[in-house]
Amino acid sequence: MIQAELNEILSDPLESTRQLSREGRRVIGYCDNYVPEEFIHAMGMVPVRLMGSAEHITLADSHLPIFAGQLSRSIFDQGLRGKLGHLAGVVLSNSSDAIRTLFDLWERHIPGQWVGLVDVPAVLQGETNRRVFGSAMLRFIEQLEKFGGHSLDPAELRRSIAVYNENRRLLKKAASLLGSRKLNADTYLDAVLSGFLMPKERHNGLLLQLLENAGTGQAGPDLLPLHISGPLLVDRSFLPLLEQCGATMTSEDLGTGSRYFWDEVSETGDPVAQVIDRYWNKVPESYKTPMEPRWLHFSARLGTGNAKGAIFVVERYSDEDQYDYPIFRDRLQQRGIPSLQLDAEFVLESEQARTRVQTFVEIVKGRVS
Amino acid sequence: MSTQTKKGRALNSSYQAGNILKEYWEDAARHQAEGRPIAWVSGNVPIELFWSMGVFPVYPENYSAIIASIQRAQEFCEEAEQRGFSNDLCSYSRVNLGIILGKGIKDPGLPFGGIPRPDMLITTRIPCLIQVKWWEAVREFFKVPLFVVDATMIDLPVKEHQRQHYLGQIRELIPIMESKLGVRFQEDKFLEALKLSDEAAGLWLDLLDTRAAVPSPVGSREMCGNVFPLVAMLGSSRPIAFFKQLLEEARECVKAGKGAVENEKIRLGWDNIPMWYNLKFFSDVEDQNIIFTYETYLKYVWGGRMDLSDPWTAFANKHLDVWLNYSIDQRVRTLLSDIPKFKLDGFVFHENHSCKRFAMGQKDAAVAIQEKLGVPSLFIHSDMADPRAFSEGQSRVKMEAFIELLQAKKK
Repeated sequence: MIQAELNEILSDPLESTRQLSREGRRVIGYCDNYVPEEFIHAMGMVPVRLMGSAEHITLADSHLPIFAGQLSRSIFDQGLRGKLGHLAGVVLSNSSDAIRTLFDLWERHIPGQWVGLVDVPAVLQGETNRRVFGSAMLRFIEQLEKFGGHSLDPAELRRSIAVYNENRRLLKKAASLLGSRKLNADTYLDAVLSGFLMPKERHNGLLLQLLENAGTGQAGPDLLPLHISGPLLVDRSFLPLLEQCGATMTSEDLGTGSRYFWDEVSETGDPVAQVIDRYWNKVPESYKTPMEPRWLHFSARLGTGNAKGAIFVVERYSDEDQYDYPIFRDRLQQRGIPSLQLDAEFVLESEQARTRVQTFVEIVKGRVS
Repeated sequence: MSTQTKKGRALNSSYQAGNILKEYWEDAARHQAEGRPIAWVSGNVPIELFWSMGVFPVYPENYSAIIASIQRAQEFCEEAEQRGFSNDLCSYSRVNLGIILGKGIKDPGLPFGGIPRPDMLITTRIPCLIQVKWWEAVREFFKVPLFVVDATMIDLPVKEHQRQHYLGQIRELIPIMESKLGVRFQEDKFLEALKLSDEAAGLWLDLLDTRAAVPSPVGSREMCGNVFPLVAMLGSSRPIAFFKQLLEEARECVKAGKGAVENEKIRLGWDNIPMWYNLKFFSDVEDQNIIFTYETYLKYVWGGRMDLSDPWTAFANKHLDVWLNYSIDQRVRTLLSDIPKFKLDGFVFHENHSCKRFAMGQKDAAVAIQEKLGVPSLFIHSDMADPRAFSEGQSRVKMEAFIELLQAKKK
């Protein structure tokens, strides 16, 4: 029942967000884990994640080189083709040179649509960067207030924080059930991804139902437990492929997974300051430095899932993740944990990917037995 | 930085460039041998600070360009790729990581006896985020302190909060350098370094301005070989004498109406880092009475002027005011102003696979200069150091067609 609902939402992500617009909601598209959704939510808008697509690019290539990557190219292509016209606005960031360029391009070529920028430092240490991080977030609030036509109400923000924290707690619960194999990996992924496309209140309801029913569809014990890492995993065919190869995901530190929801906002004190603190202290993404807190999160998640190996799903031209892979691979090797990097351009389902995963699973199984 | 010479230099002083480069790397080795600190740094770091504090700034980027110019980049890129670094990553970094992870930075087969080991790594996001990731990978190997100077992209004029962000980090960097490297910051020495930097930058920019003359006194190939002191030595006295001589010669050429190219007919601009393994690309064009006389890479990436009546503000402005840190609008505005000044007939955009930040926005810029100025452009798809990304035949055919178009337009 729940799975069917998740399927419907994810079968056409853009249509799901269009439906929200038809319901009269002001929907804001964003594409980075450093966009403070609580602020958008508290302004009475619905933040939804721009996931891009694997579709053929038509218009965006007149503005961006291929090596800008599929995510930014496909999002901009959707924008130019009017596929995001139902959005009241778009919020971009400096998460990569390509996404930051997208902000400039959006202003130049899609002038009728509001575009905001979260321009926070990439360096998450030092007093200066901490102060500047906070100021950049406050400037984002100013942009939102100007666009929304009213001030951010602290009471509304407290309510939004509570909603988002509940969502994070439920997703963490789902992650723990994934680790103990009481929740199938593909159901888990669908549960996480669907949350990017609907109001969090509704998502919380779905998660509650899902968690109540968890444990009925257990993964087979003979499947090899693996950890999945990477900036984004939106190809829903990958986890079934993994299972066909004799393995399953028991933990992850995906940008569209636990790195997104792991950290909560403190519900005491000044709510604006607490939201800023949360984003400053959250598990850092690959485009932030230093990398050690991300490695610690990666290690902890991998341990919880008792994973015997790790697969890094890395988007082509996602340079930040490509630099990290050899480092993480070597550190894992020192702990006797094998790993595999799979290059993706949104889609992972291919014969080549299947062969590589199959071979990897066999190697890891050989080491375990 | 090329060691290839097809024909003579337009300016005699340009022959000094090779010696300056050699001296720099020899000085770096000597500095380390004497027990003094070495920092590995990257483009657009606060270079004057290092020279004033007695910390030798070693530029692996420059070393990668040298490796490319002697046609050895591919072997090191492949070495890095075998170690798991994707061939989509910056080729400067792949060359560097290939050296480190292969036979090592002291391999006797390397130019200048190799690269001195770093005591500290200092980089900045001003040119790109990639530089930060590269340094993280390097730190994994050398286990030395790393400091990153952050910055967000700008539209001129630089905003106060961006300046304060920059300066706040510099104030944090100084005591870290003092404690990690055993050096001392002295403001008078720093201010002296700023003066030297500004003088050198002024000479360099004046030199570039002489190239607005028709005929142009010096072309891109030669100027790409002359830029190194501007990259790595601002804040020391070495670039000043060199740039002064280049400028005097260029001015004499302009006065005498002597161009670098005989019977100059077409003038071109260049965007992005050159193909260091193929600077011949520029000189081949020069053989056809065509000159590249303007480069965003040489004009807006390295040395800016500073109003030293307010030195810290000027220092921050200079380091933030960099092409790679410009928004698309700022880049377009700059080209629209410079192209008429330099009387360019056409523009070549190097869609450099390795310098993505540079390449972003190029297509919008090309459309803008065509629409507003009627100046056509050509895209060359290649890479600054990895020769495997360059298609000789395809590029030649495209360039020939472009030249035909420009010649027809001139008639």
